[in-house]
Amino acid sequence: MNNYLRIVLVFTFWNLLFSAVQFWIIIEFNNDFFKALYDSVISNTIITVISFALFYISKNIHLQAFHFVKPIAILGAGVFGSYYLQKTCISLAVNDVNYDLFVSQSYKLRLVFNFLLINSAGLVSFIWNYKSNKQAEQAQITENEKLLKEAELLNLRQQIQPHFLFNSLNSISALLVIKPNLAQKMIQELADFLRGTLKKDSNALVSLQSEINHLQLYLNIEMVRFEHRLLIDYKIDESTKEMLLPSLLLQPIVENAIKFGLYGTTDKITISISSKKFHEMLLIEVTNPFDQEATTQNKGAGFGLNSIARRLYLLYARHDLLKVNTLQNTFTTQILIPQTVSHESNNN
Amino acid sequence: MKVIIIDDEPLAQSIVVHYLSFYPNIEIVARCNDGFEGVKAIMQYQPDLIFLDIQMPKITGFEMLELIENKPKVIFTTAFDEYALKAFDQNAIDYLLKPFSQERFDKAMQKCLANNDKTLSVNNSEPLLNTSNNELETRVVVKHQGNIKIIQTVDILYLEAYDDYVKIHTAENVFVKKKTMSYFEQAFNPKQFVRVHRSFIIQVNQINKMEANDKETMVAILKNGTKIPLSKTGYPKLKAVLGI
Repeated sequence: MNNYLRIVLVFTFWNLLFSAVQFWIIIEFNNDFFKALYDSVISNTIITVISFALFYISKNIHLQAFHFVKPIAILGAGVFGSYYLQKTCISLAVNDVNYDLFVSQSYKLRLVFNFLLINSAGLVSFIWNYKSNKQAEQAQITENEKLLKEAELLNLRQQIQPHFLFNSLNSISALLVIKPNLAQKMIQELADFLRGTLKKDSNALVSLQSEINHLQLYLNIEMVRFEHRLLIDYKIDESTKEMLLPSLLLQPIVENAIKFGLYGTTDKITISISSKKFHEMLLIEVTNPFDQEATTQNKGAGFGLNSIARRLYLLYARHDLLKVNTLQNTFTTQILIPQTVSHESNNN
Repeated sequence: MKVIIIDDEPLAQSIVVHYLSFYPNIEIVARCNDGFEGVKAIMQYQPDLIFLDIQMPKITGFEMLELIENKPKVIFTTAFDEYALKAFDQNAIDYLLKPFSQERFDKAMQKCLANNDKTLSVNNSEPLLNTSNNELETRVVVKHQGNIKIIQTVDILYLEAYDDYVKIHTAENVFVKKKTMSYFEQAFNPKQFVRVHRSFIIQVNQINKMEANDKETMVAILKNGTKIPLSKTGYPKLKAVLGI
């Protein structure tokens, strides 16, 4: 808001300056003092208002998105439009036929004036936008760096959920008594899962296949813990197996689904994990059943997904890649992974 | 001694079964996978001791305990250490952090067995302090016509004192729970629930308007038309929460 005030002040200063110049020129043509004053003030006020409107439009509507013809059209419309507006207003204010004639005769000079003024307003907006874009960009870079560090920390904490670890150890402790062979297998899987989690660079992109392999280690452990209730249903499209996604993205989403499925109902649950191509992007869907009665308010099932949304934003600068959907008793998490932009962020 | 094990992971149950196998006078009468089964089994068998997990499907171990009138002795078994205080508030014998060793388990059992003679002194006391209630409840679990019902606090219109019980009024029904008014006053978000009267706690979002009942007293009129009296101390409390 303060910025707009400053720009209004700049434009007002111009208005006064050019009014003075125009007034001086008109007086040179032996015109009446007050008529010249009206003329110059009205002309320049109109042009200032129009310049400001153009500035406002260019700031709030992305001109870059327009074709280059459009700025020229806007400029032309601005120059001629304001000339006719000026003419009408002056004629109304001065109310003198001879003066109207003078205005019409001096149209070339007036058009040049309008042209120069609107152009310089354009220049100011360009510099202004450029500067504020640069600042915003800089701010986003610093913000990104900060978020990235936080995300890394969060990631570590998220990946190795202490409860998951302790409950798994408890299961192993039980297996040692009942089925020692299975205990050994589970220790192995737990170790592989932990190693995979620690080793991975959270910025790296991996293929869906390798992400699923990592996920499988996690699911094997969960299946031992909840074998009586948990079913997993994969629908992985063959064409998506080599598509890329940020590492360690899938496991927390599935973990979230399992948690809300298992604790949200008392029945057996099926978690389905599916992937397909969607407009050259990778679309992954994870669904879990839940019971609305047991889910606390709205935060319910979407609760554990905030960090995923943040990671996706950090990597792709888009807020629309993670979607959650509640349909009756099914909760769906959808993630969309762009395949092209990701290379750019890979270089960073 | 009759024992019930309540845990949503079969392997977690079996480690308790294994550790208990060294105790000759113990009979495991039931193994339950969630709190619903737990309530049923406890009513059916009246056990002396239960091993209870906290995070379980739909209702937690704590919520399950609230539904039981004659509480058996409880040993909590969980991977969550943050509930320890609350567990002891519930007069738990012990709190076993998963995974636990036979030695640790035996210690808990010794406490339980030593406790066997003087159960009365422990079991009947209401918790003195709500030390662990730094986390506010967002739902209440009640028994209703033989079923277990979970009520989200946002759905509550108001609470009404009813002898030793509290009536929970929602748009669809009235539920009864054996708790005190001051328990709810502390357990629920104080910005959302205000004790406006000795016998009433209302959810502020449900209020439609307030008006004078007669010269002396005020009433709050809820969106569904119910009138709730506001006491002399309750009215200013409500105004403070509403910011008027």
